[in-house]
Amino acid sequence: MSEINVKVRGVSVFEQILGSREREIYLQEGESLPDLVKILDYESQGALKEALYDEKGRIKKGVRIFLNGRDSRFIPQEDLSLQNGDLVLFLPLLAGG
Amino acid sequence: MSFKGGFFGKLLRIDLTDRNSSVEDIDPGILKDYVGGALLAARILYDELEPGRDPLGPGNKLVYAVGPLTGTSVPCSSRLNIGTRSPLTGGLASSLSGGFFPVEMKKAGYDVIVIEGKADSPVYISINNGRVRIRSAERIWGLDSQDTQMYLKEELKDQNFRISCIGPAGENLSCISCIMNEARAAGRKGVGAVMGSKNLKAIAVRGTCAVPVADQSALRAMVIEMMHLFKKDEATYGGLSRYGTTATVESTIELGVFPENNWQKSADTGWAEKGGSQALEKYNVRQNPCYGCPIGCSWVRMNRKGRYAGLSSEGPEYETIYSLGSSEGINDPGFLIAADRLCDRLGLDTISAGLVTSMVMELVEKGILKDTGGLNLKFGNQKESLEFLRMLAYREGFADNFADGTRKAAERLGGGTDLYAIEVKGLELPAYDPRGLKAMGLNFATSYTGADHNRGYAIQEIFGVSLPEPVERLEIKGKGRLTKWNQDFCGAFDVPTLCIFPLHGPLLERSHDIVAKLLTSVTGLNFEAEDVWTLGERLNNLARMFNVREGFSRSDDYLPRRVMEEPLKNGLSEGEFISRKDLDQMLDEYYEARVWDSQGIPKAEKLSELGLDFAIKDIPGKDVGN
Repeated sequence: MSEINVKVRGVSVFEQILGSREREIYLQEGESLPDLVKILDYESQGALKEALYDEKGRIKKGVRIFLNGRDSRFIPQEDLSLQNGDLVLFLPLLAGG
Repeated sequence: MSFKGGFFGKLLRIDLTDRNSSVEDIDPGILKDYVGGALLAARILYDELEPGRDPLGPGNKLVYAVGPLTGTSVPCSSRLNIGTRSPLTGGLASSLSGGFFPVEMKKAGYDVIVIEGKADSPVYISINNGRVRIRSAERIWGLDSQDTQMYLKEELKDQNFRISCIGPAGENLSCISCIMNEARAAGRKGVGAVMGSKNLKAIAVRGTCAVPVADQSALRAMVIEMMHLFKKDEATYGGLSRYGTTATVESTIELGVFPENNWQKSADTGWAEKGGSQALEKYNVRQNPCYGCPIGCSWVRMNRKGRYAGLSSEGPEYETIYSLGSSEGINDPGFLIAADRLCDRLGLDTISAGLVTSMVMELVEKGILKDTGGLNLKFGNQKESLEFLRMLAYREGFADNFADGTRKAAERLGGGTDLYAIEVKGLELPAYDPRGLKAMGLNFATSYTGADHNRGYAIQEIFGVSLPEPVERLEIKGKGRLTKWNQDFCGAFDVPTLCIFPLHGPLLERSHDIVAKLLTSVTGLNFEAEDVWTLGERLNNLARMFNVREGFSRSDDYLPRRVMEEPLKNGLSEGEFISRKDLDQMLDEYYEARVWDSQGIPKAEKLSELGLDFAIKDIPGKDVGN
């Protein structure tokens, strides 16, 4: 199984969790967005899931994960497998404007 | 029906032609149904303005309207709506501002101030509770907005006056001029030019009346609940309070919807690092909250070194970072502070002024505009941008053609230059590229004030909020119904004049219920959550009818050519645009949701349902006798 390279970006709290605004992550071919979240959560010692989900396991208000610009909430499960060169963005709730 | 608090039930009418004033009682029934702010102003203007009158003629009126919560202990309620017929759009203008002036006006004992006619020489109005004077402004005509406030406080020998005024741009009838109070702007739609057209430099107000409250203990309980919700919300203090509105820059840049170089591309993340919220934080001096606001999104920032050393500004806000910054190809926070300060002092709306400047920059870049009087207005040129802003306010040289906004500039220039005018109904777009935010685009197309983010902010697309439901920002279907929801949501709070930020944030899920309880406890009249929704819908329908009476219809619900013809070239929304077919699909769905006909005209049944029967006669083709 070959390796794929995925770009991961995070704003605000997610930037802190990732350690930088943008990182490249190597995954095994066939791994999906939920797999990526698990890997990054393990690496961040649980900080990622804490920022993503509330105490009842629901995604927090306004928090979104985008895959190549598409809101992952609207991507069918079967299309969540990652491809080489994909861009994943973690966006927290921000206010104002 | 009578109220027990919140309102004084008084309208102060000032006729500048005859230089007299009078106080009128407002019908309590009108106050219950129209409450205040944008809706009460819209009703007054609907009743009193003859259609087709020149917005800059003496027949136009300026209506200052606060709400029943203004001046009470309700947080974030020091808001004022200035309504008029806009010289920029030709439709109804609603321009809101915070600060301290709204509370001072309320405490002077007035819910509404109507200014009509035209003085034969420059004047200002002083209002000290019940004492109203129209005084000469000959000596201060020409002063900038900040010096005007300083001078008038000295002349009136009372530093406690709060002042709403224009700068040189309003005096020179620039249709992109604003009205300033402190460093706050009722920024958009050219309200400053209406004030200038009346030879009115300023309104200085001092009030010491206590605003009556019907049920203090119920109000206290609601305020405590609101404060609790504020504290619980991560984004309120962690984002909005810490960074101000600039907190949104990184988010919209990441989504590829923060325009650069007059919307030719999207600003990238490198731009955010230089001109975004964290870069600006280094310039922070202090927060400057509106009266009674525990959040304090407004930050005073200053340049401590460099070519702009010593210059400070209350801002720049999110929109200004785009309009005077990315749209002009400039990402220097020092410049943004200086340019924001200059616009405030000249009395120019920063969004429109920035978009006019970036339009000129693109015209120069493309070789279409050759004579700029020697001014090298290229993208990224700071010194020339500042000079052009000054020229706009004074209508000097070639800037005269641009001083009334991008639409009028394109009309004057011709030759297809409308491609470079980023506007709807004449109002320049704010920093949300509709190509990657479809509901925001439909809101820009249909908002009664033109491309106005605050009249129907798509929180679902920008902040990911799942109310009323989760939304995919790039989807076309469903955006008609969503935009109606967003516009009625926002409209509901422009009426009691509450700041939209807490209602879009910590109070979101319970917003209408909370506002209904606040209105009930303050006024003693009974308001349910459904009534608050109705206020928003009534506003959007009455405002639409105001515009219909001025000749507006479906053809005025458009988007800029660039948004409809040029796909986004970079970023996470690359390839996106809104085609004619997309817009038509969204408009059809929107009109159906609103119970408007296919031309965007409200149907009689909807007007009747909203208690707007008096407007039915103005539906085109309706028999006057019906």
